[in-house]
Amino acid sequence: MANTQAMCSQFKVDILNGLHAFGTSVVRGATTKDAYKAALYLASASRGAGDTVYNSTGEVSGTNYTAGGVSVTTGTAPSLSSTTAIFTPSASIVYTTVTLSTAFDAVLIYNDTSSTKLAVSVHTFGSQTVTAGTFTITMPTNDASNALIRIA
Amino acid sequence: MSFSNVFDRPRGGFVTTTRGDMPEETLERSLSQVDNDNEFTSVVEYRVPGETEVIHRSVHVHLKQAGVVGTLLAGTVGG
Repeated sequence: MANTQAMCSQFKVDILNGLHAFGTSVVRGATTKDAYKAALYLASASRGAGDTVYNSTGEVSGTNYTAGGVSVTTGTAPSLSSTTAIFTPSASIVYTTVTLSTAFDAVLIYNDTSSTKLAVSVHTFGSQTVTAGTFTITMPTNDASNALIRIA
Repeated sequence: MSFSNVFDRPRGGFVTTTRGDMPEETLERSLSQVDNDNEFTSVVEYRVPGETEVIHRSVHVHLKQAGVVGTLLAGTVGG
């Protein structure tokens, strides 16, 4: 048997569950999971890796769309797929009976529980508009190759 | 995993449009889809026959693979 240099796989999951704080952290009011939301952004916006918090600049607007977007269903806890920590929302993200006339092509997932609305990830797709209709984002398979959030 | 246009189904019922709810059988329906490495997207549009204005457009994006991956690496000590 020999020692092996490695990042412990469980550590990756524990990060997703907020169990570590190498730097100054926050006082959490409960042990319950946080709430997350999904906001849509115009194709002309500049969302990306540099985002730190939810930002309404460039967010879509239109009939029946509320600024900040809709709730994300987080029914499945983060887990390990081999050595990759994975998390995927457990239901599709749905914007019902909206009219979004200006082209949009991105969704920002952010922490709605945090006071500053911390950003999590940005996901892009082909540019779309919606007219008196429903916009649905169905999630990828929750595994090491496809999950919405993967820490490898 | 196989994908299909979620809007490709028998016609019937009412459709929410910019002109209110309208019987689907009175409208022209067009389906389209995009299939690439990132997504399988289905689109349905409705128009009044003889008109060009789209009065309903719904979109279903099925993400295939998130393009966002974080990588953690354990550094070497004493090196």
